[in-house]
This record gives sequence, C-alpha cells and structure tokens, in this order.
Amino acid sequence: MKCKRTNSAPGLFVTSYSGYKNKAMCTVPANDHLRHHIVVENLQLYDADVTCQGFIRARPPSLSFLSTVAGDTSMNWTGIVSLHQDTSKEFQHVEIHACGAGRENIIAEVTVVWPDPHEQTTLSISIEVNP
Amino acid sequence: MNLYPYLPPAFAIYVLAVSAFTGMYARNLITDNVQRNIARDWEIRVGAITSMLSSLVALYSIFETSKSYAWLVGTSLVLVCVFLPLLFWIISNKAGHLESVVTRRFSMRRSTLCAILLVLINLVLIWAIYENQRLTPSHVDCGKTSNVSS
Repeated sequence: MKCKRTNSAPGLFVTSYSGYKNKAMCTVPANDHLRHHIVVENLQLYDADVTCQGFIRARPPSLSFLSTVAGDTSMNWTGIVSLHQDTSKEFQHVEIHACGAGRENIIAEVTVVWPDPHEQTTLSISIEVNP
Repeated sequence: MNLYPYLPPAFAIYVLAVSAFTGMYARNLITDNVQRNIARDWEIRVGAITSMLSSLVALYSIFETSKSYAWLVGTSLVLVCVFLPLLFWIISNKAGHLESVVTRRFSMRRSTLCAILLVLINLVLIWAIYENQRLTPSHVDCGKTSNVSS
C-alpha cells in the first residue's frame, strides 16, 4: 500500500499512513478529509525524546495540511513527545485536504534522542496520497 | 546408555543458564542503567558464541554413535544455516542493544530471544543424540550377532 509505509532502526519502529478513522486510505474522500497518522514505537528500554515532522515538498502542492497547532503550516507540521521505555505514540491531529490534482508525496521525518545512552536516530518515510 | 555425547549440548545450556544468573548479579552490582546493559550485553555475546561452539561439537557426538557422514553433513548444514545469521545478527548489534532493545513482535529483550533460541536448538540436539543412540545398534551387539551367525 503506497499510502502506508513503515521504517525501522534499532530501538525504533515508525509507521506513516494517510487514514480515515484509523484505517489506511489512499484517496481523499469527496466530502471529507484524511488525517496524517504517524505511529512512533520506542523499543529501547530507555526514555526517548521524539520530534516528528510531516512535509509536503512539491510546489505547487496537490494536498495541504490543516492543523490547529501554532507554528504548523499547510506544508509542514511538527509534533514532539517524550516517550517512556517500550511505549508508543500516535500523531494524528493533522488533516489532509485536497487542493489540486495528481498524486502527492507526504514525507514523515522522525528524530528520536535517547539521552541516557547518548544515542540519536532519524527515520524518513514517504507515502503517496491521491487528492 | 552413554552419557558423554550429551555433555556438549548440556554444557551449552549450562552456559546460558549461568549467563542468566550472573545477569541478576550484575543488576545488583551495577547501579548505572547504561553500564549494566553494556555489561549484560557482553556477557550474552560470550555466552551465545560459547553455546554455538558447544552445539557444533555435539554434532561429533552424534557422528561417533551413528558413523553416518550423511547425518553429520546434514545436521552441520542445518546448524550453520541457523548459527551464521544468528552470529551476524548478534555482532551487528551496538554495545548494550542486546539487553536494552525489545523485539516488536514478542515484546521481549533481544538477549532473551537469543537465549531461548539457543536453548531450543540444544534441546533438539539432545533429542537427536538420544534418538541416534536408540536407533543405532551397539558395537557389542553387532559382535555377538556376527559370532552367532559364524
């Protein structure tokens, strides 16, 4: 499924998908919207600081984000969270709206810092969504 | 029943059990979480590699009983196919990760999964040695049979 992809690194598993009511869906419905879901799983037995970003890099875009969080724009959004050991967090507060034609790539970039063992890793996932 | 062939796989299980025991000791001795995980990680690496070597030695116990090259080659190939990826996987982990990272599917530490796998392999080897001894007629019996027929 091009609109649902996963990526992993030691101690980290990330899933990114466009979804409607927690189900992956690749096309924005006519009278409704999708949400950009990013699930971050901290598989290390250390606490982690997570920074999660969603981007639309194409200009002009055929999709746009709609977020209620200050600082987010129609082209990118940011979420941060501190995760305890062996826990997960799902970001799903950003809506995806159609604003053009043609498939669009939505990129998710997740950076995790484990302060205790001084480790850091960044994962990037690109999904494809139809307006 | 000859118990000597059982020594290598039994030793392999013993090494893994001792590793688990000293892990509890390390938990009491080292207060820093990161240092403790690194210490446990190295302990598990040494235990796993020793256990793998013992399992390979156990193959020759099976060969001693059966004198079958087909068995020796077959079981060697199976063990090498399991051990090589396992060895590369263990080596590929960063220091401390065997103890500090949990597997997503089984939600258990990587070190625990590795130990369970090695114990299972050695239990299968013990069963194989037992079956080999049961199915292979002893040399004394062969001698008696040949004497009677002559």
